[in-house]
Amino acid sequence: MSRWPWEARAAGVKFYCAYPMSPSTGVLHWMAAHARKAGIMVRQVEDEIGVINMAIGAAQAGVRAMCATSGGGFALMSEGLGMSAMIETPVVVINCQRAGPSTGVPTKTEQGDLWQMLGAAFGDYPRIIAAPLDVGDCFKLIPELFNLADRFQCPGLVLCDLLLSEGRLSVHPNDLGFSPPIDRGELITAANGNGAHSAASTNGGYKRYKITDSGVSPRAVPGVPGHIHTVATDEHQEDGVLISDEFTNPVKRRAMMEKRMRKVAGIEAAVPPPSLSGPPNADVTLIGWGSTKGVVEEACELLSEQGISANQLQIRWLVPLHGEAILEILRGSRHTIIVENNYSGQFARYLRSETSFVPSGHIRKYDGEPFMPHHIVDAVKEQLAGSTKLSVPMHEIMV
Amino acid sequence: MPGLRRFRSAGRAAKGLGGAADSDHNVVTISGIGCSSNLPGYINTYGMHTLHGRALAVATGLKLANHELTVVVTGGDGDGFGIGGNHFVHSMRRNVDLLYIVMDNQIYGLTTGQTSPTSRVGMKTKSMPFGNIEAPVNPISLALAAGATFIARGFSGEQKHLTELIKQGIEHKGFSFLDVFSPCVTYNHDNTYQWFRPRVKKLEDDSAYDAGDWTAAMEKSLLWDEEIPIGKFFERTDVSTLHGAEPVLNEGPLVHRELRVLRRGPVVL
Repeated sequence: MSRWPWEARAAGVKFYCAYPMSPSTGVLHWMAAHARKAGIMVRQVEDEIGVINMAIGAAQAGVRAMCATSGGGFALMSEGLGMSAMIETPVVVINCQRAGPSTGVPTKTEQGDLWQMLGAAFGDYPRIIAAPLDVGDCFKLIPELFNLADRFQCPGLVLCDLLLSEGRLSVHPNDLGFSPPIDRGELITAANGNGAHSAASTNGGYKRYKITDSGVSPRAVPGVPGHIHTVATDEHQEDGVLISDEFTNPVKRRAMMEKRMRKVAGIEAAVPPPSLSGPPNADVTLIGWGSTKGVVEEACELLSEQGISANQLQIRWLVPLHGEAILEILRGSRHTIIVENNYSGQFARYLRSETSFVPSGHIRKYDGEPFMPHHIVDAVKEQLAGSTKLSVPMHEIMV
Repeated sequence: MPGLRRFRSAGRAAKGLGGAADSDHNVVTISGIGCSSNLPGYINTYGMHTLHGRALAVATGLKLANHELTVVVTGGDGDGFGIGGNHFVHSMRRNVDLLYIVMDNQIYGLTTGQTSPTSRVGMKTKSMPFGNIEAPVNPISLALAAGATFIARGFSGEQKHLTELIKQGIEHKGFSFLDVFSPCVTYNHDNTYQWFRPRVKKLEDDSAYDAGDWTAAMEKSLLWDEEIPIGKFFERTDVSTLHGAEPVLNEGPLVHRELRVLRRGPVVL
């Protein structure tokens, strides 16, 4: 059983919707079975376009809304993510990666959707992308991500894979935080009374997209007196009035674009940089992201037993990446190898684009199966011996 | 958007809302994209200007999260029957409690005049300069087949009649579909006010017509050319709304509920 639904419940999710798609369907099944007891609205929708839009609609009403899918469904959600960013209504979307492209290998795992996540929806907008490190981390991540999405009023994306969403692992209950802190950010609801005393007749001077230093504008939800406004996917001015067509105004457009993008600095400050685990000054530094944490960790132990000291840099927050901090860490590394479950080295390309960093070598796998520890150990040894810079281990077991 | 201000039903919608809704801040007007879809910005309610074709999906989520809000969705024929066709059908079968007003001008106006899903066969547009060869969708028949529980058609040239339909549509508990002939004076030179006026005939003027009779409504929906019925085609009140059928909402709107209900107990995994 995946830990996604539990964590969603702990995070205060009130609305979940989905279209069935392996390997994300387990989330829907758990949510549906426990919806009534947990007080969560769960809906199965006609397609993923409907899913993301329905979730954003619920979020606009003021609840925490989430949905999960796999690569193909995520592709259909792209335009909706842009809407979430433009109208500044937070939503959390989980992509449980299968092996692609297209229908691909629905029941097998891969880390092949990184660039899809980085590039989802057109235009520039603030987004958060996190890759949970293991099953237990799935539990911790969702409340953290909801807090960030609520604070910065933008889409929060989770990049996991079949290995985590359908993998089974025991987690000690004490390691799960059932009451994580909840921060809904600058939210004005009828319930919290923030808007109750505003003058309804004058609309209280409320501006939904008020230009602020942080880029975050207090968000009123429908039903609150005195805060009537229209949220708009067309570019708009502070009060929500459209400026994109006949009244196009370069000054206002620039101001709104900069307002939204100022959130990026706030998000970066709110998210911790990654850190190195294992011995300093190791013979080799293995760099992974998301679900490869466990296998890389085990490979490091095996290497150490065989007299090769290895440490690990595992990336959990993909956006913001904290490129400077990563460079600082890798500056002290003797031999660096990026380990990832895809063909083209998507993370290696991303890291290079953000930092100009080029690793000593790569270990990749794209046969649908996850890495096994010896795959990494053998590859590290052949790379340290100088025989190759790219290892693609063969999966020996037919499953 | 030369045709934008011609959409008289915008004004009618505001009038209808004034009659039916308790206060403006409890009303949300949600649009897609198109000439029709700037409407939320013109009236004094909470508004959402969403994506092309997606207004109904957004509205469904919003209504389920706070079913105390009155929800009105506005769009056009391209928005609702073309790119949003999937959501249109499924929203009707779900009986989401909202009013969906389609300003149907049988053309894509915002993009300067291409064939739409309700363009008649033979109509010449920039995208089909030799005439449309595809049969148009029949929105009323489609709504009947898909299970909408209130189905009506108005004409922007019959404003009092249209206002009354908007009021009824808001008051109806369930999915109310209101197709409104809204001639585009800029790009549609076939289906003009002059073309519609002699053809439209109010169903309300026919005392024998029973809007509770689905089969009769389906027959009426097929009429075109010589006589085009407007008015309330169909209504039924014996179907539960989507929010009414969902036990999770028994304790009230989601948005007013305690955020976290999870308690650490015996771990059931």
